[in-house]
Amino acid sequence: MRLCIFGAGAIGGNLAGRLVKGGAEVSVVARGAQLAAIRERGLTVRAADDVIEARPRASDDPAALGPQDAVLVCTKVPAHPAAARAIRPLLGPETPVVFVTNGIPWWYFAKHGGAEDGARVPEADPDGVVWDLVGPERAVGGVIYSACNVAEPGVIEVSSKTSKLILGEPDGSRSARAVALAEAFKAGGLPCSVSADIRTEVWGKLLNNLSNGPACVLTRRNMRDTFTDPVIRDACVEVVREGLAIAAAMGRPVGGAPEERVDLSASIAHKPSILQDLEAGRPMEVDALFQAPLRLARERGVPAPTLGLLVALMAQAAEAAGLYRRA
Amino acid sequence: MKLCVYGAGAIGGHVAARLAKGGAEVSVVARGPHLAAIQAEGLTVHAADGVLHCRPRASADPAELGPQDAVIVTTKVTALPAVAAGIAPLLGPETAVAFVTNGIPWWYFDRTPQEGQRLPLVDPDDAIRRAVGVERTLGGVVYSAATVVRPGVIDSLAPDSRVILGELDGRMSPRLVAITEAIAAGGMGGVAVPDIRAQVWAKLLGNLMNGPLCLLARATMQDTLASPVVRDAAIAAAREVMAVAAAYGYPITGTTPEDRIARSSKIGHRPSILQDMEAGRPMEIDAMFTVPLQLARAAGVPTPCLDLTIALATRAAIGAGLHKDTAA
Repeated sequence: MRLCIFGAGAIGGNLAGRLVKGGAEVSVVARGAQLAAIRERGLTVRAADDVIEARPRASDDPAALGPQDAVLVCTKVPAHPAAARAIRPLLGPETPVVFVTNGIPWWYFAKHGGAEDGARVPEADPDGVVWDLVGPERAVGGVIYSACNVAEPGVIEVSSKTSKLILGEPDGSRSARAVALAEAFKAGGLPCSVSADIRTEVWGKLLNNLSNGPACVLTRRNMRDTFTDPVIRDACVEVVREGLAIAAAMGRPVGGAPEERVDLSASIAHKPSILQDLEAGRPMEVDALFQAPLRLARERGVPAPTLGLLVALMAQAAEAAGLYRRA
Repeated sequence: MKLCVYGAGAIGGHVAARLAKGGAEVSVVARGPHLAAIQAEGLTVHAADGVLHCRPRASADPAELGPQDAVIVTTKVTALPAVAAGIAPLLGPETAVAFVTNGIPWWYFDRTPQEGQRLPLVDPDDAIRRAVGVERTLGGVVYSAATVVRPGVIDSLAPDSRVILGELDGRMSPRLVAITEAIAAGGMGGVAVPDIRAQVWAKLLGNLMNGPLCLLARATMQDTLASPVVRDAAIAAAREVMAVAAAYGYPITGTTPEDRIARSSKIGHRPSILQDMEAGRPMEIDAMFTVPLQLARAAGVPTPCLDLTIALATRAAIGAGLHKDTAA
């Protein structure tokens, strides 16, 4: 199976390592120091269960890699429009494109059914470029649970004890292409399933982002340090409660007690990816992760005052850092 | 009148220049490059009414300056333990000490029915209380948007700069009048008031309604308050401060939370506590944030908006290494 990872940062590098280990023919599109390191020394993934040394093909030019059986886009959401333009040489007539993302994805309302079927998500795809160039037919959703970071160019460190990837077709079908991809990951030791309801998975992951992201960006500290203060912990429980209400109003109820979710985060000395982005000076995914769910809440009359305040302050801090511009 | 300004940063430098202009015999306690510049070239203040220049005696060592008629302490609250250790040579038998500091001051409960109640976060181990004593102490509040633009040179271009002082027991004492007149003689507002604690709360209102939010947004008041959600939070915070002030017998009158926020939202100024964070200076988290919340708890006044924004801002200050984790 010819697979290309577009965007070999922490998540993309992690997935590429697993696919190589599982025996797939893997290439990565990367840039700068990361590309140079992968070309010279290969890719190292240090996980709790395994240390993977992989040597995928690596290029900054998709045309050099040619058409693939599947492409996995692992860039941050603000880079999706650029990715949609760049991946065209990787696409054969049938090539699916998996978007392994945080937040409300651009394809959220594709094949959604009901009154909103086909609605766009401007926070994730401001000019509709991704929708127009990639399109719902190729789209496969991807939700990943893996706390990882780039320790040095070419070296990915996974700090969560276990990781998992959940794939899902926007129409909920158990497609052959999704199943084949899941098998490729499982062969590399990464638990991977195909969900019949990927949107519920999107909300499940998003609730973690809502609970941890804004608070940790405001304190600039990891989750454990941030939640040391019971006032902050309680506010984030409230944020999760608001997020659960939004998910339920979207018809995707997510289970679990808000307290448990926050207390699990509070046990991990991990910096949420959006804080890592701030510290590294990378564009911050404020819109897809935070403004989109707030807009969906407003449209449905679901109050989210705590989330609303934390996100408003975080958006200003992101803007002050030059890593975000409010729409 | 022999006056020493202890802590000649932006505010202290401005006050010292006004005292000199008004004809007082002024000295300053300063440190580092600022001290060297004042010793070499004097002190220059660019003010709304012109450029002030003076050559006060300046030293890092109060012993070189000797006993004063009055000392005006303009350091950060975080520097008060160092002031306690250094101030003795400035004090004669009758020397008054005016504390022009931010937040709830160490002397807040002295000469009130709650006499004896202490605020250890703003005066650890009673260091200042023991070094200066309540008898000598006057309370003070300053309004002056001032910045040190380079060592020895201060910009303070707001036209309404003023120092407000009061005796802890509210008397309009001769020393109080003398100090405020010495300041006013130099062309800055110098105001003696019978209720300095009301002034403390009024100033705190400004610090608390904007400070935590601007710290979190890392932006000016104007930019921070541009978001309607944040503006509503600032109004809620202002309302909470007003409720706490009222519970302590100092209702803030003549303004509404909405008016105050509307005024703040036109000011492209970074609150001093944000400037401190960005410059890596110790932050007055305890005096400005923690102690007011302790007072709110003691009075049973709920402050949910301040609780959250202050908790987040405090964590950020701890993370930046500019505030000690007092809860730990």
